[in-house]
Amino acid sequence: MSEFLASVERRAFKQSVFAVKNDESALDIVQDSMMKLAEKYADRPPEELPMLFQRILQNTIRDWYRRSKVRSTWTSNFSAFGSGDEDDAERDFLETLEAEDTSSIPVSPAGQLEQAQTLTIIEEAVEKLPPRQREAFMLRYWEELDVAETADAMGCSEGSVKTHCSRAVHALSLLLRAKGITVDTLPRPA
Amino acid sequence: MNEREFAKKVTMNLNWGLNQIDGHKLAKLRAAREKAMVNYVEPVAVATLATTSGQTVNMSSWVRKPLFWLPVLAIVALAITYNAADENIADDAGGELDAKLLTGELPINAFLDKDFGSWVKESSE
Repeated sequence: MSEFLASVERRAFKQSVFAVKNDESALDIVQDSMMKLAEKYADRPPEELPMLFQRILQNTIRDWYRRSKVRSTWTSNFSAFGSGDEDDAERDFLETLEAEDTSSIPVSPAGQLEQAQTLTIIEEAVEKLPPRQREAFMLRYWEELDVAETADAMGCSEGSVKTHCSRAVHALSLLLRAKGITVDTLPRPA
Repeated sequence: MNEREFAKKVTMNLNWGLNQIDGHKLAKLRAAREKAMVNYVEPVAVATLATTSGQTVNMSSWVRKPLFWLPVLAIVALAITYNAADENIADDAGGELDAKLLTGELPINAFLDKDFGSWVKESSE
């Protein structure tokens, strides 16, 4: 169990950050998910753990959304400020970056910097995806669950998973192209 | 555009980003994992079956499946039915003795036996 959690904790953290856009909340979500898995599903065979953990993680993220919605309702009753424009303004600082048309590993400091800038653009694009599309893309392609497992974790049909994935890829490619990155120019890191 | 190829390139970049997470957050993740493991209890296998190929099958996952319990329930139901039928047969034998006692068909020697033991034994032979 410990090995499994160690193998997924970084991706789980980044997934949560993409979803809630707050590092501390993301850490709380990952911790809650880990505790639920360890407490309630200790007897499950190892091959079931990835899907179970993802289901718990996605449910915990959804719970966070619900609580946050309730909080924001109360906040908006007391204040007309904090409309979220600051977040949008922060996202606008991204510059168009033309990535090298190469698959080489960036080892030089300049290459590392360029890779980091490309990563920032990709992560920003992932953050901008609609939640269900992002969820499907992350589970299917980053966590490498199959369509049935992804559907189970998301609580939807396999057809919906395929639709969400297809739309996510299309939306991502448009967002990246707007920043000067295409599938051919996407770097292939080590 | 190949969806899978595009997704693979994106996730490769995301994986590279995992190594860029700062040490402070990694420490918090490790602490979260250790906290979760405090409540973890190592599972104990219910039973293990040896298969003909020499491998072992863990029964604990089978026990959780509803279909596993169907034959078990069927056996229990059969046992209860058989037991009830057996009790009916015993009741019938006792009823026959009572009827003979009431109609006065019992021989005098039967009344001399304690609990009609000898008469019941002779009549059953």
